[in-house]
Amino acid sequence: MKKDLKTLSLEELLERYNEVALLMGYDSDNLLTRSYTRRFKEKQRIVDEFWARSAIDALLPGIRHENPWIRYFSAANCGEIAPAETEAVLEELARIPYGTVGSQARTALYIIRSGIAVSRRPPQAPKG
Amino acid sequence: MHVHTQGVSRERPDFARSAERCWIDGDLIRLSHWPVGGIRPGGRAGPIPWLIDLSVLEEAMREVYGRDFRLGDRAALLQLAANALAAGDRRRAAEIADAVAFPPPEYKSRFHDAGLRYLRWGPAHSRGNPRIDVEAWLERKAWERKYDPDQPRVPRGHPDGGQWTNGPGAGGDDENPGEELLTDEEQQEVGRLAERARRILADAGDPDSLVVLAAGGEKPPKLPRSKWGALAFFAEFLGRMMVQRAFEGRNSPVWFDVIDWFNAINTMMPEFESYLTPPKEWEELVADRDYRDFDSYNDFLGVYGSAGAFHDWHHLVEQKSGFSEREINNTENIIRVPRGRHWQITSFMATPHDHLGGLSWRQWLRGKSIEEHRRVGMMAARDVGVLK
Repeated sequence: MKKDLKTLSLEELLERYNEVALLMGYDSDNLLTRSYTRRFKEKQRIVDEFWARSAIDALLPGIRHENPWIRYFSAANCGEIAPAETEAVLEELARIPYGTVGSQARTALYIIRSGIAVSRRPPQAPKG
Repeated sequence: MHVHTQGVSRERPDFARSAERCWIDGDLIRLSHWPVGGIRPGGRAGPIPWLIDLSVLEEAMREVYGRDFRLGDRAALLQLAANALAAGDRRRAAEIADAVAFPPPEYKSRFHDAGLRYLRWGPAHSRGNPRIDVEAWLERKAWERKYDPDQPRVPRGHPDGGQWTNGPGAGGDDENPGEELLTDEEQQEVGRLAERARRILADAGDPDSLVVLAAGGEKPPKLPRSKWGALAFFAEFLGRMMVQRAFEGRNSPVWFDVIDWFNAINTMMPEFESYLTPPKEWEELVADRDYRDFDSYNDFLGVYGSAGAFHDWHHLVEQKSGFSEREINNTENIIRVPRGRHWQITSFMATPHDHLGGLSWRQWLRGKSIEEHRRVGMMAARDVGVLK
């Protein structure tokens, strides 16, 4: 049985994030869209937990990870805290001709540059 | 992560023996996104000894290629950025490279014992065969040391015109071309480096774990294919099939299965071929260059028929996007695409994106104008390689 995300330490949360990112890459490369979407929701919950703990910075080192999928998702989720670095990573990934990671990065760049990108920062709860 | 494989985990993928490779390959790709032998030497829990020629770093090569020559998949060639390679461990890389440049005899023999008979150094495009014997490489190194571009030549007009004359770097015999050129100082340096090489090899421990990196050029070198490769693959395939049948308790002759497989492959070949079709111009993809619209998709099919074997008609603006039939079923919106690419486009439209707030393109486009739909549809067709 999976533990609740709130009970996980930051390291465990990061490990879970990396696992999900790798599996999403596998799903995407094999056109397993339904499985990808399910894992995407799980990844969203993990990223929301990072935001809730004000620890989204912990994902930023992932932009230098050796695996292109972890680089991609780290860049996609840290765009608001380090836009220049993450865009450079997306540009680098967009040049990958094989698999779907290049396609996803090109799409992400298109979305950012056409000004239709949506903020990933969850709404803050009202104080008091 | 819990992994259901035979002793293979993310931390120790190299525990797999070559016989198990066929079983664990898929799991390893799932874990690391690299095939066996293509795992990068960096970013592991423990250090992995590796060798690199310093010239890889000095010649400002953009990319290097290499693979584990003992266990690795023949087709798996590791691609790395040279600067990334050097960033973490430049000093150690320098030490090892120096040592490799002047190896003591036992160094070479350990390479041979470990089965690492082939090293490849130098730009990928410089040779057709990417594998160079260690000794041939050493000879080349020695020759480079001997070669002096300033050495005088016999002038034109003389019977020996163009030949080298005696001069610096011309000495030495062919058996040991490099050694006679070394000054005393260099001889001492060679001795020092040889000692360092011995130490590094002792530190490296098991020579099987050495990862040998090769220098690359603009594109990856082509690995030579063994003429027995196909036979070995077939034998392995047959063996696996027989083991599987034994487990399942089937009694029919094994050749029935083989025939089934060949039939299946024959049936699928046109699909593979359609998938490999290169991107085409717009005019080649449309059913008709003149504009025609229809009241339904069936009417369209009634006029233009099927898209052909393993090809589909694809709607740039999707069928259930809320526009009128004539806006969707017309010759400017329907193109002929290979079936595999069509699946890719469908996946493209259904994949959620972080930058769209977790929506897929299909969800994001709801309520948008038909121009917006068409722009995204064209982008998808270009991205998957259907449209130029």
